[in-house]
Amino acid sequence: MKNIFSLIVLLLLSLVTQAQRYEVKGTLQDTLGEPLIAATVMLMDMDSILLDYTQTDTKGAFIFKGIKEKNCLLKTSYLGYFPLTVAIQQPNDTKLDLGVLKMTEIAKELMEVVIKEARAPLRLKGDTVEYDASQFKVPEGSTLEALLRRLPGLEVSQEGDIQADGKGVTKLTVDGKTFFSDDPKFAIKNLPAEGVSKVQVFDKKDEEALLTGKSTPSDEKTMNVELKDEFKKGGFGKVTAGVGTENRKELKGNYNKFDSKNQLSLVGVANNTGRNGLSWNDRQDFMGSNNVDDNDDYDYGFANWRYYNQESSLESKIGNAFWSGNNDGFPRYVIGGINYNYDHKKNKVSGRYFFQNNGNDKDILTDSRTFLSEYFLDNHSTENQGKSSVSHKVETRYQYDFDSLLTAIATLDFSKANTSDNQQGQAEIFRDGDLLSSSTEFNNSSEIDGRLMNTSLLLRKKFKKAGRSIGVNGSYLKTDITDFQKRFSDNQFYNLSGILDSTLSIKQLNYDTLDKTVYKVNALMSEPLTKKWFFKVFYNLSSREENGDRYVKDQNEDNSLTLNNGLSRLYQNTITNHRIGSIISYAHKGINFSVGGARQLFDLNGHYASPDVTLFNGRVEKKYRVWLPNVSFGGAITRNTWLSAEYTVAVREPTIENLLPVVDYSNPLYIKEGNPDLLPTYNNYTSLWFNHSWPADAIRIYMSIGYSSSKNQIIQNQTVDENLVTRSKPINFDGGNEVWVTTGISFPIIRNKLKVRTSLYTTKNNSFSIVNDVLNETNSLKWWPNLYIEILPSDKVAIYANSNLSINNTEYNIHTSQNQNIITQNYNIDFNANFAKGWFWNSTLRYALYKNERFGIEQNVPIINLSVYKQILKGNKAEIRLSLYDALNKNISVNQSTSVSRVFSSTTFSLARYVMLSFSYNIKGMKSTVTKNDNYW
Amino acid sequence: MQKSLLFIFLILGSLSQSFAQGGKIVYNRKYNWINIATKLPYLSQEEKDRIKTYWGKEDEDNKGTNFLLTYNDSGSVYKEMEKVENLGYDWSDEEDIFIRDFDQKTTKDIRILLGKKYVIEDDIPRYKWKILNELKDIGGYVCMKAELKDTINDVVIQAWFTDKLPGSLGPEGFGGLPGTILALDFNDDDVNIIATKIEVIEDDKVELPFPKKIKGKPLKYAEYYAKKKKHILLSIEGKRNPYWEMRY
Repeated sequence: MKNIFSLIVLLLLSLVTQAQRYEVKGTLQDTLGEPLIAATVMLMDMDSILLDYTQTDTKGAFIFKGIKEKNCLLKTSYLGYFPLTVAIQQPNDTKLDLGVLKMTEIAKELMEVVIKEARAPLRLKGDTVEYDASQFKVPEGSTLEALLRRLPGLEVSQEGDIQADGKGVTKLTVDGKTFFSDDPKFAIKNLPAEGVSKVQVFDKKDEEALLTGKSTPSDEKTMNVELKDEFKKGGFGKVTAGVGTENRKELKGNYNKFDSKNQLSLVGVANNTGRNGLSWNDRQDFMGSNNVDDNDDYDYGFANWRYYNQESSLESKIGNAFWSGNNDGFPRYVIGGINYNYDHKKNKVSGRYFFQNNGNDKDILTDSRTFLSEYFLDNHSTENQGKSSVSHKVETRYQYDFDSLLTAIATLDFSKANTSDNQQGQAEIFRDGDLLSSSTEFNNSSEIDGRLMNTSLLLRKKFKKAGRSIGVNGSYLKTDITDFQKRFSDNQFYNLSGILDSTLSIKQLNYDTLDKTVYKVNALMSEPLTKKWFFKVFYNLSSREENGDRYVKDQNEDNSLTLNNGLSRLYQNTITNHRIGSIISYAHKGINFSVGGARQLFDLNGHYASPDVTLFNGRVEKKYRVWLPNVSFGGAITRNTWLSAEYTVAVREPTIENLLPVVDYSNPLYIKEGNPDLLPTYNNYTSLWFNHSWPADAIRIYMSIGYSSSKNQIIQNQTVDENLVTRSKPINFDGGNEVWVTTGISFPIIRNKLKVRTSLYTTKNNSFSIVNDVLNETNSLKWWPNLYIEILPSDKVAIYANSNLSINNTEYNIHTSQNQNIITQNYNIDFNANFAKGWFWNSTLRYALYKNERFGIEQNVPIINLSVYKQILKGNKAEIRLSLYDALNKNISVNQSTSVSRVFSSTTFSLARYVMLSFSYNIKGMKSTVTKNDNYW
Repeated sequence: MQKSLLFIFLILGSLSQSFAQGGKIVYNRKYNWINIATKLPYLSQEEKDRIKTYWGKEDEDNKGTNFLLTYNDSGSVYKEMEKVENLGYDWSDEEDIFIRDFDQKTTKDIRILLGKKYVIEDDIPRYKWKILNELKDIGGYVCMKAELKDTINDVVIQAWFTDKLPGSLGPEGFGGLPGTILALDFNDDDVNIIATKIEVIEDDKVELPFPKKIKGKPLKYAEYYAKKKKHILLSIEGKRNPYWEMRY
């Protein structure tokens, strides 16, 4: 009984479902009536969303059960056959038999191409055959006809008639549009093959075919030719011009044009405001894709300490011109550059030219205090500096990739620079604060002309075995510099009772020439020991040869000149470094560790002589050999924690100025003398860097610690005579160390609305000097706390507040009463708003406070800058801006520092209040937002 | 004649493969960060052009990362392959692992999201694939095209699958098609995955290379996607590329 009841319920249930659902069946055959076995049959809804799928059985039959959709599509797939799509409508009863479905075979030639070519040059979209034109090679300058002859499945007769799949092509379109005439013959004889990206051949379609993709037989074919997608082609650029009060003007523009092979960029700047100069973005725009390869002249092996800033303006690369930013005084800039990159397949060529004409006029007040063994000296000077420089630079680079494993790069640079420098002013020196001991009026000038040629060649070879590689590079640099200097000064010396003791008038002309040749060779070989361990050997050679003459002439009363053999020098200097070393490293799963060592040989040769060799003639010949260890670690110790650590020893040879045995009288109160006996300086450097982030919460903390100690540090040995004339000579000294710690945290209080970043940098170091045979030790402790708050209440308002302090505590072991505490405080608030449609407001309040209690210095510099601007033209392509700079007219720049036995403070008078009206136009539209482009944590 | 023979051989070969026990497929996954960056909604056209001109060529050296999909009748494992860095440095991050159990129809995926490791034991996700009309050859297999709307990344994913490899599986845990997915394209080349080596193993039992330990915070796919979506929305609002610290 129970069972019968269940049976009835089951029957009823199945009746209910049967009423809603239905089944579909059918059989697949080819055009000859043979069943297609194991073909895939898919059931899709009307949006082609897959609902179910199955395979045909040995008779080619298939069945889908339990379909509930009213309308469906059924699609079949079988290798070598065009897919078939059938529309299904819910039948009146529960079963729908589609009967026999016939699938059409794809032309064999086409199918072979599909199967053979990994990068399918041919695609089948429904009944459309699409050829990828780039995969079929035709000679340059060929027409479309020549290309079509190469396409499988197409036949082109002598007359230009096209047959596809045995059917005539009667219509040809280009990008879907008619090309002059519908006649395919005309188009295929006139279109260049080079511009074609795709060729498609299809039957004429009706509406049903467009919906379902089902092919309907037609006797005629249509051909569509798609031209190459010039997606990479484009250009952008902008120009800004402004005029202001105080005779201020600025002009800046850049333009870029690029396609897939070529990049051309221009940049130009002219201003006398020091603002709106070159930025990081301008550098990217100017260099284009060539930026990344900017510095090929790298040393192999473990990194050295590199002192980029020691490069003279002559040797500095063009790319460095984009981050010069010293705008105190009254600067003016004229800059122009053009860059061209060609990058196609194996060849990469780039060339650029850059012109700079910069100048600056400065009035500077300087106060300094120097501590000597028994007393101190205050120096008060006022000085006017005029500087101008003109330089031309050309850089070229060629890279050739022989194959994916072998690359050669050659570079050739030329540069020419002229710098003029004028300094005039006066200085008074007081003993113990109020006793005048000397006064000077000076007028110095220098005119430097330099030329440079620099060339390099690099070869990089990788091997099929991953991790094996060889690199070799060499470079040759030559510079010629002439420097003509005038050193005029009138000096008065006073005795301890304040009475004029003596006078000294110096009128000297210096003629310097310096020829420098540097060549370098570097080689590196890397070999994998296992999948995780690597072995590297490297060799570096660098040789610097300098030939210099310095002719010093004294100007007599009657303006005639006398060669000063005592000060004149002819010198020749060659410093050669060889370094050979090896590294064993481990690299696996984001952890990298390496241990290495190198042997370095220094070979120093020098010859110094006066034009009158009886007065001075000296030689230096020295060799040093040193061991250089290196240990480094870097890696993600957990997924969000990054740690790196390094121990390295860097050895630096003495500078040529310090090696020169030439007495420099340019300042008769501070006579400098070189020391040819100097040894290279060793720096032992240990560092640790730690970073941890919580990416889901946008929080980041970091810390870095470093320690360095020096051996053979070069310090000044000074003697001060009774006339307070200082003689200074560099010597080697063992000692001196520095420790620095940086910590910081960045976190949001309200995500994307209120963000805080705070950091503390602190450093402690000691340095030494010898004054009148007494060793002076200076200990300096610096604290730089920084707090930054970003407030973004809406899209229309942004407030940025920043405060940073610099607390610099200096203690002297001898002159403890002169211990200094220098405090600099900076506070900035930026307020930006988009207050009406297209209208923007920018304002900056800066407040700087300089304090040195011992010196009684307390200076406040408040600066307010305001600007309002309006976007104009269609697409916001332009903007008009009215700016008021330094509303309170208070701009000066202040510099404070301490060094061994010396405290220094200077004030430079700088461009202050002016109003400027400017207009900007950007081809791609101005990007005006209130927020800064700063999206790191 | 030779070509026809090859053709027949290939057809026969692919038929017999239907009865295979398992296989190994190597996929190359290429992450095109320039494509991703230049689609960020908050950048101006100039900023996008700048990224393209300045960094475009740099990306040509991008060789991608290789993943291995190993499968048999009962399941599949998709994980990163061991590699040797050419320069002797390795900055790689730990990668996700996708583990599928076909009998239970469940996942045991190891997913790393924003620095946290999760083990997702859940039902194999169901995808609403749209079948398209295009055909393409990948590694000797004729593939059909299917498309999927990804509402988390808000992009379209295109898949190329072949019914000659019968397993309904694919890279990155994707599946649900009448055949194996041999290529995936996220949002018009933001991330591109393509099979570079296909090995069908018929005779031997294929062992699945399960990771030695499967440890991580348990999570369901709904929660995982919610976390991912939240991060994307917050990052875009904060004008920051969400994929800097998150796998696409």
